[in-house]
Amino acid sequence: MALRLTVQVQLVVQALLRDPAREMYGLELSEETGLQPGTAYPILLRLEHEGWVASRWEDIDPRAEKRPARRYYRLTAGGAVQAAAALAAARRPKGTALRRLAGESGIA
Amino acid sequence: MMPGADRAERRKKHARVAGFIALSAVVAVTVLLRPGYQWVSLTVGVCGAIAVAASDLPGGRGRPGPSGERTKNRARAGGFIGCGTIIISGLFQPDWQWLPFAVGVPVVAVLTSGGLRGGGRRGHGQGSGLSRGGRDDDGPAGTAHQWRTLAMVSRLMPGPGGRRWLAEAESLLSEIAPAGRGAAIRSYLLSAPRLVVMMWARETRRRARLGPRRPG
Repeated sequence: MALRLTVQVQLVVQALLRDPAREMYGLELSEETGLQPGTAYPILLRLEHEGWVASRWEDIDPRAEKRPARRYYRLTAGGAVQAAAALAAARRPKGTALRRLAGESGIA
Repeated sequence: MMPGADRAERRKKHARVAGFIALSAVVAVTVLLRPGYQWVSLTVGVCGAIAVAASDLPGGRGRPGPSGERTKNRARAGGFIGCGTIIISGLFQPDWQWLPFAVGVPVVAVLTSGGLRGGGRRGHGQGSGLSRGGRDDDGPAGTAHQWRTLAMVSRLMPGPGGRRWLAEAESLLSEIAPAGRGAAIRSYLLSAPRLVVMMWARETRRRARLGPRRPG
Protein backbone atom coordinates (compact mmCIF):
# COMPACT_ATOMS: atom_id res chain seq x y z
CA MET A 1 0.00 0.00 0.00
CA ALA A 2 1.37 3.42 -0.95
CA LEU A 3 2.33 5.76 1.86
CA ARG A 4 -0.20 8.54 2.43
CA LEU A 5 1.65 11.81 2.89
CA THR A 6 -0.41 13.49 5.59
CA VAL A 7 0.75 16.78 7.10
CA GLN A 8 2.26 14.89 10.04
CA VAL A 9 4.14 12.50 7.75
CA GLN A 10 5.39 15.51 5.79
CA LEU A 11 6.69 17.10 9.00
CA VAL A 12 8.66 13.98 9.91
CA VAL A 13 10.01 13.56 6.37
CA GLN A 14 11.01 17.24 6.25
CA ALA A 15 12.87 16.93 9.55
CA LEU A 16 14.75 13.89 8.29
CA LEU A 17 15.45 15.51 4.92
CA ARG A 18 17.10 18.55 6.49
CA ASP A 19 20.23 16.46 6.83
CA PRO A 20 19.63 13.02 5.30
CA ALA A 21 22.92 11.62 6.60
CA ARG A 22 22.12 12.58 10.19
CA GLU A 23 20.63 10.04 12.55
CA MET A 24 17.84 11.29 14.77
CA TYR A 25 16.13 9.65 17.72
CA GLY A 26 12.49 9.90 18.75
CA LEU A 27 12.77 12.83 21.13
CA GLU A 28 14.81 14.92 18.67
CA LEU A 29 12.29 14.26 15.93
CA SER A 30 9.45 15.02 18.24
CA GLU A 31 11.02 18.36 19.22
CA GLU A 32 11.81 19.30 15.62
CA THR A 33 8.37 18.48 14.28
CA GLY A 34 6.32 19.56 17.28
CA LEU A 35 4.57 16.18 17.21
CA GLN A 36 4.01 14.12 20.32
CA PRO A 37 6.33 11.09 20.47
CA GLY A 38 3.38 8.71 20.33
CA THR A 39 2.26 10.35 17.09
CA ALA A 40 5.69 10.28 15.50
CA TYR A 41 6.30 6.58 16.22
CA PRO A 42 3.67 5.06 13.88
CA ILE A 43 4.85 7.43 11.14
CA LEU A 44 8.45 6.31 11.55
CA LEU A 45 7.34 2.69 11.55
CA ARG A 46 5.43 3.17 8.31
CA LEU A 47 8.38 4.98 6.73
CA GLU A 48 10.58 2.09 7.80
CA HIS A 49 8.18 -0.46 6.31
CA GLU A 50 8.25 1.48 3.06
CA GLY A 51 12.04 1.35 3.08
CA TRP A 52 12.45 5.11 3.30
CA VAL A 53 13.96 5.01 6.75
CA ALA A 54 16.39 2.68 8.50
CA SER A 55 16.72 2.43 12.26
CA ARG A 56 19.05 0.93 14.82
CA TRP A 57 19.41 0.73 18.58
CA GLU A 58 22.16 2.84 20.06
CA ASP A 59 25.09 0.71 21.18
CA ILE A 60 25.64 1.82 24.77
CA ASP A 61 25.74 0.36 28.23
CA PRO A 62 22.52 1.67 29.83
CA ARG A 63 23.99 1.31 33.33
CA ALA A 64 27.06 3.36 32.49
CA GLU A 65 25.07 6.01 30.65
CA LYS A 66 22.26 5.91 33.22
CA ARG A 67 19.62 5.94 30.51
CA PRO A 68 18.12 3.37 28.15
CA ALA A 69 19.49 3.07 24.62
CA ARG A 70 17.95 5.30 22.00
CA ARG A 71 16.54 4.16 18.68
CA TYR A 72 18.10 6.16 15.87
CA TYR A 73 16.44 6.80 12.52
CA ARG A 74 17.89 8.05 9.26
CA LEU A 75 16.75 8.20 5.66
CA THR A 76 18.03 5.49 3.36
CA ALA A 77 19.64 6.56 0.07
CA GLY A 78 16.59 5.50 -1.93
CA GLY A 79 14.28 6.81 0.76
CA ALA A 80 15.77 10.30 0.60
CA VAL A 81 15.14 10.51 -3.15
CA GLN A 82 11.60 9.12 -2.84
CA ALA A 83 10.80 11.32 0.14
CA ALA A 84 12.01 14.49 -1.62
CA ALA A 85 9.98 13.62 -4.72
CA ALA A 86 6.86 12.78 -2.69
CA LEU A 87 7.20 15.97 -0.68
CA ALA A 88 7.52 18.07 -3.84
CA ALA A 89 4.47 16.36 -5.32
CA ALA A 90 2.49 16.92 -2.13
CA ARG A 91 3.29 20.64 -2.19
CA ARG A 92 2.10 20.98 -5.80
CA PRO A 93 -1.59 21.98 -5.84
CA LYS A 94 -3.80 19.28 -7.27
CA GLY A 95 -5.67 19.82 -10.57
CA THR A 96 -9.09 19.69 -8.89
CA ALA A 97 -8.03 22.29 -6.32
CA LEU A 98 -6.75 24.58 -9.08
CA ARG A 99 -9.99 24.17 -11.05
CA ARG A 100 -12.04 24.96 -7.94
CA LEU A 101 -9.97 28.07 -7.26
CA ALA A 102 -10.28 29.15 -10.88
CA GLY A 103 -14.05 28.60 -10.72
CA GLU A 104 -14.38 30.63 -7.53
CA SER A 105 -12.52 33.59 -8.99
CA GLY A 106 -14.43 33.43 -12.28
CA ILE A 107 -11.38 32.73 -14.44
CA ALA A 108 -12.72 29.55 -16.01
CA MET B 1 4.97 6.57 50.88
CA MET B 2 5.31 9.36 48.40
CA PRO B 3 2.17 11.26 47.41
CA GLY B 4 2.41 10.01 43.79
CA ALA B 5 2.69 6.38 44.90
CA ASP B 6 -0.22 6.88 47.30
CA ARG B 7 -2.33 8.21 44.48
CA ALA B 8 -1.35 5.29 42.25
CA GLU B 9 -2.32 2.88 45.04
CA ARG B 10 -5.71 4.58 45.35
CA ARG B 11 -6.23 4.29 41.60
CA LYS B 12 -5.43 0.59 41.77
CA LYS B 13 -8.00 0.14 44.51
CA HIS B 14 -10.59 2.03 42.46
CA ALA B 15 -9.76 -0.17 39.46
CA ARG B 16 -10.28 -3.28 41.58
CA VAL B 17 -13.62 -2.00 42.85
CA ALA B 18 -14.63 -1.17 39.26
CA GLY B 19 -13.59 -4.69 38.22
CA PHE B 20 -15.73 -6.21 40.94
CA ILE B 21 -18.72 -4.07 39.99
CA ALA B 22 -18.35 -4.92 36.29
CA LEU B 23 -18.07 -8.64 36.98
CA SER B 24 -21.01 -8.54 39.36
CA ALA B 25 -23.02 -6.74 36.69
CA VAL B 26 -22.20 -9.47 34.15
CA VAL B 27 -23.23 -12.13 36.64
CA ALA B 28 -26.42 -10.36 37.67
CA VAL B 29 -27.54 -9.53 34.15
CA THR B 30 -26.89 -13.05 32.87
CA VAL B 31 -28.59 -14.69 35.82
CA LEU B 32 -31.64 -12.44 35.66
CA LEU B 33 -32.08 -12.35 31.91
CA ARG B 34 -30.95 -15.81 30.85
CA PRO B 35 -31.43 -18.40 33.56
CA GLY B 36 -30.30 -21.12 31.14
CA TYR B 37 -26.86 -19.56 30.98
CA GLN B 38 -26.15 -19.34 34.66
CA TRP B 39 -23.09 -21.50 34.20
CA VAL B 40 -21.50 -18.75 32.10
CA SER B 41 -22.12 -16.08 34.68
CA LEU B 42 -21.00 -18.37 37.44
CA THR B 43 -17.71 -19.21 35.74
CA VAL B 44 -17.04 -15.60 34.77
CA GLY B 45 -17.99 -14.31 38.19
CA VAL B 46 -16.02 -16.82 40.23
CA CYS B 47 -12.85 -16.69 38.09
CA GLY B 48 -12.94 -12.92 37.82
CA ALA B 49 -13.58 -12.42 41.51
CA ILE B 50 -10.76 -14.80 42.48
CA ALA B 51 -8.35 -13.08 40.11
CA VAL B 52 -9.27 -9.58 41.27
CA ALA B 53 -9.28 -10.50 44.92
CA ALA B 54 -6.01 -12.43 44.71
CA SER B 55 -4.19 -9.35 43.53
CA ASP B 56 -5.00 -7.76 46.88
CA LEU B 57 -4.17 -10.72 49.12
CA PRO B 58 -1.36 -10.37 51.66
CA GLY B 59 1.85 -10.49 49.68
CA GLY B 60 -0.07 -9.57 46.57
CA ARG B 61 0.89 -7.03 43.94
CA GLY B 62 3.32 -4.46 45.17
CA ARG B 63 4.37 -6.50 48.19
CA PRO B 64 7.43 -8.48 47.25
CA GLY B 65 8.40 -11.77 48.86
CA PRO B 66 8.51 -15.44 47.85
CA SER B 67 5.05 -16.27 49.21
CA GLY B 68 3.63 -13.15 47.60
CA GLU B 69 5.12 -14.16 44.27
CA ARG B 70 3.58 -17.62 44.64
CA THR B 71 0.17 -16.14 45.40
CA LYS B 72 0.42 -13.85 42.40
CA ASN B 73 1.49 -16.68 40.12
CA ARG B 74 -1.34 -18.90 41.35
CA ALA B 75 -3.84 -16.10 40.85
CA ARG B 76 -2.56 -15.51 37.35
CA ALA B 77 -2.59 -19.19 36.48
CA GLY B 78 -6.11 -19.52 37.92
CA GLY B 79 -7.21 -16.49 35.96
CA PHE B 80 -5.72 -17.81 32.75
CA ILE B 81 -7.32 -21.25 33.17
CA GLY B 82 -10.64 -19.66 34.08
CA CYS B 83 -10.62 -17.25 31.17
CA GLY B 84 -9.44 -19.94 28.78
CA THR B 85 -12.33 -22.13 29.90
CA ILE B 86 -14.77 -19.28 29.40
CA ILE B 87 -13.50 -18.53 25.90
CA ILE B 88 -13.44 -22.18 24.83
CA SER B 89 -16.85 -22.91 26.33
CA GLY B 90 -18.18 -19.89 24.43
CA LEU B 91 -17.28 -21.59 21.19
CA PHE B 92 -19.85 -24.31 21.94
CA GLN B 93 -22.67 -21.81 22.51
CA PRO B 94 -22.79 -19.91 19.21
CA ASP B 95 -25.38 -17.37 20.38
CA TRP B 96 -23.29 -16.39 23.36
CA GLN B 97 -19.86 -16.15 21.78
CA TRP B 98 -19.73 -12.43 22.36
CA LEU B 99 -19.94 -12.79 26.14
CA PRO B 100 -16.86 -14.93 26.75
CA PHE B 101 -14.89 -12.78 24.35
CA ALA B 102 -16.12 -9.50 25.77
CA VAL B 103 -15.27 -10.61 29.29
CA GLY B 104 -12.40 -13.01 28.70
CA VAL B 105 -10.17 -10.86 26.52
CA PRO B 106 -10.01 -7.78 28.82
CA VAL B 107 -9.57 -10.00 31.89
CA VAL B 108 -6.70 -11.86 30.20
CA ALA B 109 -5.11 -8.54 29.23
CA VAL B 110 -5.41 -7.20 32.77
CA LEU B 111 -4.08 -10.39 34.32
CA THR B 112 -1.20 -10.51 31.91
CA SER B 113 -0.21 -7.01 32.84
CA GLY B 114 0.17 -8.27 36.40
CA GLY B 115 3.48 -9.80 35.36
CA LEU B 116 4.99 -6.42 34.59
CA ARG B 117 7.11 -6.14 37.67
CA GLY B 118 8.55 -9.59 37.45
CA GLY B 119 9.38 -11.38 34.23
CA GLY B 120 6.75 -9.59 32.19
CA ARG B 121 7.32 -7.69 29.01
CA ARG B 122 9.95 -5.08 29.60
CA GLY B 123 11.58 -2.47 27.53
CA HIS B 124 15.02 -2.53 26.00
CA GLY B 125 17.64 -2.90 28.67
CA GLN B 126 15.66 -5.30 30.84
CA GLY B 127 13.83 -3.10 33.23
CA SER B 128 16.02 -0.07 33.10
CA GLY B 129 14.37 3.27 33.61
CA LEU B 130 10.67 3.60 34.19
CA SER B 131 9.56 -0.01 34.28
CA ARG B 132 11.90 -1.16 37.04
CA GLY B 133 9.60 -1.98 39.95
CA GLY B 134 8.09 1.47 40.07
CA ARG B 135 9.76 4.79 39.54
CA ASP B 136 12.31 6.74 41.47
CA ASP B 137 10.64 10.00 40.54
CA ASP B 138 6.87 9.99 40.47
CA GLY B 139 6.49 12.62 37.78
CA PRO B 140 3.00 13.90 37.15
CA ALA B 141 0.22 12.20 39.04
CA GLY B 142 -0.91 8.93 37.53
CA THR B 143 2.16 8.42 35.31
CA ALA B 144 3.14 5.14 36.97
CA HIS B 145 -0.36 3.85 36.36
CA GLN B 146 -0.23 5.01 32.74
CA TRP B 147 3.12 3.29 32.30
CA ARG B 148 1.54 0.02 33.34
CA THR B 149 -1.23 0.65 30.84
CA LEU B 150 1.43 1.16 28.15
CA ALA B 151 3.00 -2.17 29.02
CA MET B 152 -0.42 -3.81 28.96
CA VAL B 153 -1.21 -2.32 25.55
CA SER B 154 2.14 -3.54 24.20
CA ARG B 155 0.92 -7.07 24.86
CA LEU B 156 -1.86 -6.57 22.36
CA MET B 157 0.77 -6.10 19.64
CA PRO B 158 2.69 -8.92 17.95
CA GLY B 159 5.68 -9.97 20.11
CA PRO B 160 8.70 -8.21 18.58
CA GLY B 161 6.68 -5.16 17.51
CA GLY B 162 5.22 -4.73 20.98
CA ARG B 163 8.58 -5.11 22.67
CA ARG B 164 10.15 -2.56 20.39
CA TRP B 165 7.28 -0.10 20.88
CA LEU B 166 7.54 -0.39 24.64
CA ALA B 167 11.33 -0.19 24.62
CA GLU B 168 11.24 2.93 22.50
CA ALA B 169 8.59 4.50 24.66
CA GLU B 170 10.67 3.71 27.74
CA SER B 171 13.81 5.15 26.18
CA LEU B 172 12.04 8.33 25.17
CA LEU B 173 10.08 8.81 28.37
CA SER B 174 13.23 8.47 30.45
CA GLU B 175 14.68 11.51 28.68
CA ILE B 176 11.59 13.65 28.50
CA ALA B 177 11.00 16.30 31.18
CA PRO B 178 8.72 14.99 33.97
CA ALA B 179 6.13 17.66 33.19
CA GLY B 180 5.75 16.39 29.63
CA ARG B 181 5.68 12.68 30.44
CA GLY B 182 1.96 12.43 31.05
CA ALA B 183 1.15 13.99 27.67
CA ALA B 184 3.73 11.81 25.92
CA ILE B 185 2.30 8.63 27.45
CA ARG B 186 -1.20 9.73 26.48
CA SER B 187 -0.02 10.24 22.91
CA TYR B 188 1.41 6.72 22.88
CA LEU B 189 -1.84 5.33 24.22
CA LEU B 190 -3.95 7.30 21.74
CA SER B 191 -1.96 6.08 18.75
CA ALA B 192 -1.83 2.50 20.03
CA PRO B 193 -5.13 1.13 18.62
CA ARG B 194 -4.18 2.06 15.06
CA LEU B 195 -0.70 0.73 15.64
CA VAL B 196 -2.06 -2.59 16.95
CA VAL B 197 -4.20 -2.98 13.82
CA MET B 198 -1.30 -1.96 11.56
CA MET B 199 1.14 -4.34 13.22
CA TRP B 200 -1.23 -7.29 13.18
CA ALA B 201 -2.17 -6.66 9.55
CA ARG B 202 1.50 -6.70 8.69
CA GLU B 203 2.16 -9.75 10.84
CA THR B 204 -0.77 -11.62 9.25
CA ARG B 205 0.53 -10.80 5.77
CA ARG B 206 3.99 -11.97 6.80
CA ARG B 207 2.67 -15.25 8.19
CA ALA B 208 0.53 -15.80 5.09
CA ARG B 209 3.62 -15.28 2.95
CA LEU B 210 5.60 -17.78 5.00
CA GLY B 211 2.82 -20.37 4.78
CA PRO B 212 1.87 -22.95 7.42
CA ARG B 213 4.50 -24.11 9.87
CA ARG B 214 5.91 -27.55 9.24
CA PRO B 215 7.22 -29.76 12.02
CA GLY B 216 10.92 -30.53 12.01
